[in-house]
Amino acid sequence: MLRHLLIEVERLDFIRCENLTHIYNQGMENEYKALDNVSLSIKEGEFVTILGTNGSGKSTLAKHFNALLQPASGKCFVGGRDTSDEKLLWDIRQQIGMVFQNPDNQIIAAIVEDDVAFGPENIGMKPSLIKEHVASALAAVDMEDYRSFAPHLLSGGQKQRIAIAGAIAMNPQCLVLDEPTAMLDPQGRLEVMSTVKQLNHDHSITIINITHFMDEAALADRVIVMDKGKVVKEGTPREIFSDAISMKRMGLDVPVVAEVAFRLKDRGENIPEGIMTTEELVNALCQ
Amino acid sequence: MSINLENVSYVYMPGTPFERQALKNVSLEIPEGRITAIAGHTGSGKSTLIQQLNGLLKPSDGVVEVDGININEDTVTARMAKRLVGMVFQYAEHQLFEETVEKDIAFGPRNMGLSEEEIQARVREAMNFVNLDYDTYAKRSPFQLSGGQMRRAAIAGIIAMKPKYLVLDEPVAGLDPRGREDLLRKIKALHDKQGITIIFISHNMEDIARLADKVIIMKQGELLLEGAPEEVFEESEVILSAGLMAPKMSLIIESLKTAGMDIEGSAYTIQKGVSLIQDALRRKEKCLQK
Ligand SMILES: Nc1ncnc2c1ncn2[C@@H]1O[C@H](COP(=O)(O)OP(=O)(O)OP(=O)(O)O)[C@@H](O)[C@H]1O
Ligand SMILES: Nc1ncnc2c1ncn2[C@@H]1O[C@H](COP(=O)(O)OP(=O)(O)OP(=O)(O)O)[C@@H](O)[C@H]1O
Ligand SMILES: [Mg+2]
Ligand SMILES: [Mg+2]
Repeated sequence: MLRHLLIEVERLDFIRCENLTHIYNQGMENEYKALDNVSLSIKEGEFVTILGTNGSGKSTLAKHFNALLQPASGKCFVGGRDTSDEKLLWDIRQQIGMVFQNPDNQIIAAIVEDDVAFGPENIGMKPSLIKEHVASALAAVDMEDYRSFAPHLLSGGQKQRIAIAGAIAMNPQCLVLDEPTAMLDPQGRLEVMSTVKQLNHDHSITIINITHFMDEAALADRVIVMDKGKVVKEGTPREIFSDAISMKRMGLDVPVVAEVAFRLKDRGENIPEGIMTTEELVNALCQ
Repeated sequence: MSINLENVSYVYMPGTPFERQALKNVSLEIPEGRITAIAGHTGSGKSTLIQQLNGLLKPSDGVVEVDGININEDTVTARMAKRLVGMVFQYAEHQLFEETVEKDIAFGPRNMGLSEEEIQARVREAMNFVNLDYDTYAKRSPFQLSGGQMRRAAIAGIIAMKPKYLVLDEPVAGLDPRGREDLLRKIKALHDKQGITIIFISHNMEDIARLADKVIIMKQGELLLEGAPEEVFEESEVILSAGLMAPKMSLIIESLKTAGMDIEGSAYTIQKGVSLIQDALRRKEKCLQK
């Protein structure tokens, strides 16, 4: 117990944003403030989900975690390093495995194997290790059969799997996943999320997952909700999803079980607060 | 009238190391005035299949007919028949190309030779359809939008052409929950009110059950099964091999039944599920009162 507490105290912020503002096309007629004074921190080894409606600023925020975008004002620190310090870019990018929203933007090589190896090579991993990592990453996303295929000729879901493999193969300290499962079938989605969960659990890799699937969001330790470029809510999935009304008002939703509990309560049934799992619902209804 | 595929096969990159047979001998009918869903595992050939429907990909073997016309012949009627089919791609970015959102959406209608007035009206109507506010987005570059906004713009571009057959490749992927609900509702309304034939690819059994009259399941380039969603989804093996999963609501109902709750029937949708649970609670109360 004490040991557990100590570890909790020692956990450092892996990512910290302080009053981070992002302005696209700054100084031009069409300038647009996509992030507005965002302050947040994500601990080493934490699994965080970011939710928000289309255009709320999720992808913009994710690109700051990899120093692909620069703050208009405010700061973003990754592993203690300031993303606006050009000398630190390489160090920062070495630690982050990134999966972009559109996998086409990520394809680099002409052969799947080389594509997945690009990240590890780029961070200077030993060739013998690279081979091993590429093989296990392709296995993790169930794409071994396609290792000699051309990535740009794959189906939508297959491309998404390759992008995930590329990020995993880097063996990064942190994975930033921007809607990594949007094009996958439900079974594929479950497989990918369980791989991610395992990386987090077994290797303490920090996970930041952006998604529109509320059931997937519930897997995280913590949920951050964005709206119009601002962080508007933060909490455990249970805290966030017990307030179904405000989630819906924002254009978001809650996981199916929480929704069922919410509707039953709304219709006057006697249901306790904060139901998140099928087991809890069964217990509440079948006493 | 309908779209018909007769023994259609398709091979990508024949004679190269990347040769791949993506469709094998597929025959099917997509009837006019219906909503048809296509499901199947990653790589099963869904996107390849729908790209046959407007001649974007030509079959390596077999025939595709739209309203009785072989669309892959080099004739004026074939070109006209192809135009009856409007297609929204899996990755919306692939179909955006103009300088502004407005010009992008106007491109199709303008090509159809409509009047400027009519084009303007259609652009506004289509943007309204996908919930992109005209004043905010019309003059923006389509490449400076968020992922979900790009998808909406791409859908609007096809909606504006009012095609007879509307084909959508995973239309709600990347949309936020409200956007998803709203788009599905409006697609259904397009069908119900304007009689537009809808063909859509989806991985969501609940959406398919709610919208479609007919579902086609693809497996490794072959048509595994077709029929009404209720029938097709009866077979759990089919569901499994298509990479699908039973809707969460039906799983919850099963768990409640197993735990001894007196629920009659099954439910895919939350609305139905909640009603079933309430009915069961009422019965339980009555029993206790007696
Ligand atoms: N390159 C760009 N230039 C100008 N504005 C942009 C650019 N990219 C995004 N935006 C705008 O910034 C806002 C935030 O975009 P962002 O991509 O971060 O949203 P998001 O939360 O990821 O949305 P989605 O769920 O649709 O992916 C949006 O309103 C978008 O239109
Ligand atoms: N341009 C291409 N060249 C070669 N092979 C291709 C090409 N496009 C797709 N394929 C292959 O054809 C098969 C079918 O691809 P298709 O895109 O039709 O799948 P899908 O069912 O739409 O999958 P997803 O759900 O992942 O989008 C896949 O194995 C894919 O790798
Ligand atoms: Mg995004
Ligand atoms: Mg596809």
